[in-house]
Amino acid sequence: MLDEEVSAVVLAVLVVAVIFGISQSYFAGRVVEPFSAIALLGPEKKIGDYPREVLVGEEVKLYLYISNFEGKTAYYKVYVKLGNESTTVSNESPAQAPVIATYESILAHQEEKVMPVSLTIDKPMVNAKLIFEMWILDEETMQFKYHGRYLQLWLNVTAPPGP
Amino acid sequence: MKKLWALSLALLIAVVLVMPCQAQSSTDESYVRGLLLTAFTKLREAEDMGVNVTAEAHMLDEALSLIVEAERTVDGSLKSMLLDNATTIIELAIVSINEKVANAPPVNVSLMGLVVGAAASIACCSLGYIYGSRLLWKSWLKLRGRWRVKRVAG
Repeated sequence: MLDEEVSAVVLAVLVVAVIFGISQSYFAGRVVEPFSAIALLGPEKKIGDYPREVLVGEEVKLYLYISNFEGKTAYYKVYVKLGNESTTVSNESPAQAPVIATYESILAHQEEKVMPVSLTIDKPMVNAKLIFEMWILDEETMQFKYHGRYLQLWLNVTAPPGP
Repeated sequence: MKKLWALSLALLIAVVLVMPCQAQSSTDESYVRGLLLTAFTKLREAEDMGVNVTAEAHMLDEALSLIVEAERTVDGSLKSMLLDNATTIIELAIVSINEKVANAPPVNVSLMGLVVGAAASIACCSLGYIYGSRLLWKSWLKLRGRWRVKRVAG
């Protein structure tokens, strides 16, 4: 009735079930693909209606959205840089441009934050590139490192009309 | 000459008194930022131990907002107040993290439980494989051993 072959199959099923159960309990809560997100919202806190033309010294109002799905609490820093047409930025290397503002946040796993952004540009520019770079605190070095995520907004900055 | 000496001395005293104040106000921000990093490190360690530190992460984010606000303000007293509030929040977060870590079950015990459980399960499976069928048929014989075949008419 219960010969050796059946016993072997039952044993194999049991061993697989035990290993699966142990691995599930061991890896419970671990994130398979950790990621962080950054997004830019318009002045109405919605996607769209981004400013295209601004005056020198005029306040540019935006909202910055960041979210953490890294599977752990993370300390983020977003550098806002002002570049021009030739400024390059990629997932590997940050832009070589002056920082005009910084935004910081500490987010627990699966949390997000929307921060108001207020910027002014003090010189006229054509095709100015407003770059938002996400940096993250490296726990080993305790230094911020580029996290490979960025946004850019093209702007024309014109001098205000004279009196 | 005496007047010059007195003036120099007064100037020196004034400089000595003012310098530490300036140094203190500039180091306050870096001190609070350092404290924040210390708290963040503790939080991450606790998180790696399996402790839920979401509330403490919120506290550190709030403290960070206060530090940023303090760095942007030019009003000395407001800056000092904001940094004091940030320090208090960070210290509370550290205390809370330490309490949670102290009350958390040690990781080694649960890991050991996992290993012992796995070993016991595999041992049970192996024993079942080796002796299971023998045990089953022995029990069957004990229960049904007295059965006799009965001749039926026909």
